[in-house]
Amino acid sequence: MLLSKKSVIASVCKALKIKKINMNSGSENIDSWDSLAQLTILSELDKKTNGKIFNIHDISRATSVKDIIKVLKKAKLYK
Amino acid sequence: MINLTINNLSHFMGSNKKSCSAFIKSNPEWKMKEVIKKTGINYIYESNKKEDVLELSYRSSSKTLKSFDKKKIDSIIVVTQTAISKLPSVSCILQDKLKLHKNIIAFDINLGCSGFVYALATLHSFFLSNMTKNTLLVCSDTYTKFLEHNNRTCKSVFSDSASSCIISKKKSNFSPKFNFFTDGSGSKDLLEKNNFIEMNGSSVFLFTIKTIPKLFKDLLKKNKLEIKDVDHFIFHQASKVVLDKLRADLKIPSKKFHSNYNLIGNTTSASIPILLEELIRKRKIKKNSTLMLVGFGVGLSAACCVLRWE
Repeated sequence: MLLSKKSVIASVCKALKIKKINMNSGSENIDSWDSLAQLTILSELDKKTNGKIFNIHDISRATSVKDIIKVLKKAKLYK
Repeated sequence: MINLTINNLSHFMGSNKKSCSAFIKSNPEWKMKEVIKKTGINYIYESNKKEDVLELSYRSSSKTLKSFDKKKIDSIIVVTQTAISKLPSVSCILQDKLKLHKNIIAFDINLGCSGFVYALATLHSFFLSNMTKNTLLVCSDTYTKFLEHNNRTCKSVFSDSASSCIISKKKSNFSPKFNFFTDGSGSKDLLEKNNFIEMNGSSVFLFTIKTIPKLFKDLLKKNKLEIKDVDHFIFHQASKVVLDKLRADLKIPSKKFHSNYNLIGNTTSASIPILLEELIRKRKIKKNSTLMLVGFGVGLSAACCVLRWE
């Protein structure tokens, strides 16, 4: 399944248990977005892509919404 | 064929036992309930000022050697990455401190969580070439001495400890087999920088869940084994999130998949032998049991082996 901006944002919100984020949100401006939260975000995205996320090496270093979308685009998992 | 036996397993934990939920006192912004839910680690052990790798190794080794004739030890290997100094090696100082005889092989292995399996592989090749017969093997690290107080990722995971045992040569109709993997491109994901350890937990996690299943399946194939043929799976005790994912992906029955991270944390290279010691104490491992040991982490490095318990 391909992910959209909306589904990426929803996954990140669910993982971080916060209601609102935008394209510029990331570990630098959200305190709770640390390495453990990153795992939860990846797990959420992995569920939505039927296990494809964990195969993307660069995804672990994508620590903002913008970066995640960039990596997903590169991996052809973004519509 | 030549097998190896693992005897006199002992360990010594850092003296300061800490409840992970208590970290909130010094770091009120940490959501420890959520952290513990993911790591599964309730307690960690920190070494005190007097306890360094040498001291922990000495304390543990003294217990190991209580019921073993010191004169029979012909080699010492210490697996550590947090030695008291870059030189000399801990194994050399330990030889003297334990008053072992001097006609002995002694060296350190600079590896973390894959180190115990690496040491077994090294020793097996020593046994095959008649280099040694009885080795004192020690795995010890004091990661907590190298953690900044606000490093939540590492503070709530790592413990200081030493584990020691005697690895002996044994003629057998079984020979252990090993499998290794290294990916230095991930070296920055867990490293010491300016005297502090830093870890990119999600990168190490991704390395583990991508690497271990392949390594694991290859090793089973090499041994002509299936999961049902292995009695006990003893993985490096990284954390709950890692081990749950690996167990689920590999479809290992929970009865055969052991853990103790919840009570002692991640003790790096000592985690496999400490768990092994616990299983022996509980009489879960019996003679001729088939074991699979799997270590993975800093390097990034992974190693696994199949052993028959003799």
